[in-house]
Amino acid sequence: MKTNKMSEYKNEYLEIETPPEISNAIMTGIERGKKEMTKNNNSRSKFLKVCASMVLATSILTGAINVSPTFAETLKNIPIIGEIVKVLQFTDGEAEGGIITDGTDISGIDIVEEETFEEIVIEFSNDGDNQNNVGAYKVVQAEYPSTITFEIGGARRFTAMEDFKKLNESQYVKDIYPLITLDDSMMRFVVVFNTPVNCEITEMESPASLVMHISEKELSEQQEMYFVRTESIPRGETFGILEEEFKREYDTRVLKDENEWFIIELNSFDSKEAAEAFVMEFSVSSDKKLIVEKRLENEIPKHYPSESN
Amino acid sequence: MIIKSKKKVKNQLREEAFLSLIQKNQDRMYKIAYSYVKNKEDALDIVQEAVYKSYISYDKVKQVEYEETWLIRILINAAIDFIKKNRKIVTLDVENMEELSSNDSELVDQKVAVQEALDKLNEHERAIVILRYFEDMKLMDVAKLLGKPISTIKSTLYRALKKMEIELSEVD
Repeated sequence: MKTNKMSEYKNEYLEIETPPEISNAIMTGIERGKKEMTKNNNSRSKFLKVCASMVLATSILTGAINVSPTFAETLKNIPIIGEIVKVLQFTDGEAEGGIITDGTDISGIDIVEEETFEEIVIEFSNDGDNQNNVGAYKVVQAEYPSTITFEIGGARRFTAMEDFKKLNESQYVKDIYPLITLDDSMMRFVVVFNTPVNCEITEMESPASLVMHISEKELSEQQEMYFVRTESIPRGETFGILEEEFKREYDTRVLKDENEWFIIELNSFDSKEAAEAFVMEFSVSSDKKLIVEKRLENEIPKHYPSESN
Repeated sequence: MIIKSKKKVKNQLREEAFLSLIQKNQDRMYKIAYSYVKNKEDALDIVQEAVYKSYISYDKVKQVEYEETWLIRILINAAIDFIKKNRKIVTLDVENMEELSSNDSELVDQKVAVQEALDKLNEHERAIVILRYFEDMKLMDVAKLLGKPISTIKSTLYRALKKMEIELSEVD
């Protein structure tokens, strides 16, 4: 009986006719999507890029709070206040979270050291008070050297820069520095590690913070990698404009070189030939100078200023 | 500008691939959405929302063979979100009611009863019944699509069928 009724209902289901208006619904959906994507491509709207993705992030969050039980357990042992929103899940080295805010101050950085791991807590405030939620943010992990780049949407102040010196105590952090960002409603900074690390990041709310749980990763066999990068450029607007240009085409990473100038990394390859082929193809269409740099896992970029060439 | 044009070509290919994916699945999308809300306007809103969400995240689909599964998952999530937001105002489509009224009364009763039977299911049970029995998907594929273990899918389906059988027996 059940089967008969089910096939009856299936027939009814199959009889549902798609109305002609569906074309409009589809086109409207695509147009909304295009509008969103155009916003994302606008270099002055990076903040919106992060916020837009929050539409999805928020819907995911309402469905399930994604917390690894082991990690949640370790969080209990450290003096961090607030509620866990989620443990970030990285896709292609990227993760996003937070909600749209404005006027954020990245107000503090604290470090909790344990024997086998460290917790670095990034705190946020707004108008002098604790902020409830982290502003829409994006976090990108990369290797050679191991780095984490933070983009915090809606951030207007970065008081925590005064706390950078606290990280001198860290056994894992080699450097931390802000990046020039042309979008004035966003702040970015990079944490560079002196060894490959496992880093889990948890978003907290009430009050807002991002907690990095860092432990050492076993260094596998050292393999040389070839990076296509720009020459070294001093910090400044020229650098920012150049980065925006590259960002439209590539998943770039900005790093400080050995002399504290900056470079933009465009791509990485495991062979010199492949990297050189990339540069050659690039040079057909652009007069911007790119170089290929060989690096091992823990090495930071070398200084290749255009002036000295 | 070779690099620029490469990007343009890539974008164009993306557009074409996305449009073809949507066109191929538009009937499925509408039928599933309609099964949740049972009226045209809301079903179209759900389809529109699913198209929007899938368009902006289409680059995240790494394997073409999973893109239909991915799209239907977005659609089902959009339908469930819609239902949650509008829980109190889901009604039968007036046009549909008129259409039903034009048929003989026994059939009308039966159809409404079957719809009511489906209404007894929660959103997740409904998704499983639709995908398994109306979209003829294998249980394993339903499990993958909904991101749940197959054992959970089986037990939910069993519970759903039991609910439906009780309701269906009343109109037999």
